[in-house]
Amino acid sequence: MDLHADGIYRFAHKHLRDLEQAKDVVQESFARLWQRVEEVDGTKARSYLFTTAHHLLVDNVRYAGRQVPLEPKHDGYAAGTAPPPDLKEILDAALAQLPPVQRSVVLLRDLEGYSYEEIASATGLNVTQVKVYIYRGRTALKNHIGSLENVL
Amino acid sequence: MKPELHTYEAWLLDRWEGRLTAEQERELEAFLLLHPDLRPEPGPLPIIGPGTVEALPKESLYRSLPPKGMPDPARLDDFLAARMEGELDAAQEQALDLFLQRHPWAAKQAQWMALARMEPVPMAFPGKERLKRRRGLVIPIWGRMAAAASVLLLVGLGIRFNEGPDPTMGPLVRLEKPLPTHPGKDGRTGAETPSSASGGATAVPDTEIAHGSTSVHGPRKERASLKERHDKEPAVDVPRQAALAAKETVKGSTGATDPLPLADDPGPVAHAPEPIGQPVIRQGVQGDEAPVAARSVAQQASAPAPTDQTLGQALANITRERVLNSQPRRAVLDGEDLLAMADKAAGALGGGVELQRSGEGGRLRLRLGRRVSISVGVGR
Repeated sequence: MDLHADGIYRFAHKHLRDLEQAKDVVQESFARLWQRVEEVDGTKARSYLFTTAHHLLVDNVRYAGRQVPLEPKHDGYAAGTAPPPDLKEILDAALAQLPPVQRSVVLLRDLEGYSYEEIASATGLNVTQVKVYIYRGRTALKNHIGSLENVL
Repeated sequence: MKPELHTYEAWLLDRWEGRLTAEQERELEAFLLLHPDLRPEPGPLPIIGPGTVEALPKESLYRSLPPKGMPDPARLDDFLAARMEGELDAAQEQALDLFLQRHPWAAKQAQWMALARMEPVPMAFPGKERLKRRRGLVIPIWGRMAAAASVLLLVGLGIRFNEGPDPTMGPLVRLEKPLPTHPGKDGRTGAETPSSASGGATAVPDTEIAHGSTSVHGPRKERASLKERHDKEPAVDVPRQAALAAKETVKGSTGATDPLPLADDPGPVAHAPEPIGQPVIRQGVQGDEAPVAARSVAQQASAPAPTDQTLGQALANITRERVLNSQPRRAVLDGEDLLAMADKAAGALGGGVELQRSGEGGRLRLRLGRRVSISVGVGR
């Protein structure tokens, strides 16, 4: 449970960029697991937790209007009025621009090391869709980094 | 109509399609002489035949992931992403390296792509204890609320129907003629009963109880005298007496003036063994006094007659029989019943009631007995 909790916490935090909301997602994921603990295979508890978290995160982003464009502070980078961000901040900002499902796919791949099949199982996509999302996501991240290269 | 700057193209198309008249041809040629720059170049218009579409390679319309073949500028991103995913074969890896060496702009893209990977950073979730499964009985709050609402409804109905008689209501049973009075040993007569006190056609005592009316001596005094006799005289089966009183009522309603025949059948009733669990009030009954005394006992004692109790009394007795496991009485729910309810509830809880407050998150836990606990958290 410790490993799963930390993994979901990191996944949710990267997704939402909000610690408190990430905690809520972790708690809700575990609460739902305990509610259906009799039906969930023990070996698939991790997948169940990440699936639940993924749906919660997507719902959160969709219904709370968290799909915001690039944060204004990055405009400050170009204007030279703000200190240049480090790579982590740039990546976080680029990640926030991705559609929620695409964001989940990239995070599950990079942070949790999930295979295409595991990601497909967790997100309800098929393997081909997962591949496309990952390739698109990486290209989007790359382009965002490239757009700020002159600033850095 | 003559060709103009905004219509000359249509004229040209019509010419190519051979739909211009000779006069229109002259008009168009005059226009082109005035605007030589608009004259089309000689030669036929390009025609897209049906075979042109089929000649397109359909495979190029599909995106293959990971990419197949060798890298090219159009698919560079796919090759770079595929390298990050480890999906290029050795030949493709070599070809990509060669491509990046030859194209500095592509090398820059590769450099950016290499940075586009999220590195897992360790993060620990605080408060993992809260994630552990809490064993116990989960009580849906709406069920509790429904139970509470039901109890309130029952209590409310009880109060509503036990508030006393409605003065606008008539008696439940009324005699056509007054009941006969019987002088007793102590000199008291049937005047103990309100029927003789009020005179004339009078409600039977049960009705009076329902209306809260009083006898000559008042109900308290009457009860006192009954208690006095109760202490002196042998037991009488109260239900039996109630039945006889009802019988007497029926006779009275038919106009019979004879004394009720309770005294004719005193032996087996008066000396029968007391049934266990039934209320028994010892009441001395002798001679002609017996019918009146029996009726008085039936009025004041607890045995309810099914035909003359109020709805409130009926509800109270249902509660007593089915919830409190006590004997029915004529009285409405009173302090004794409340005590019995409290005792019943305490017995059900068993282990008692305890309220705990956990330090984290301000969570409250109400433990009811040994097996039931309700946990309440504030906030998310």
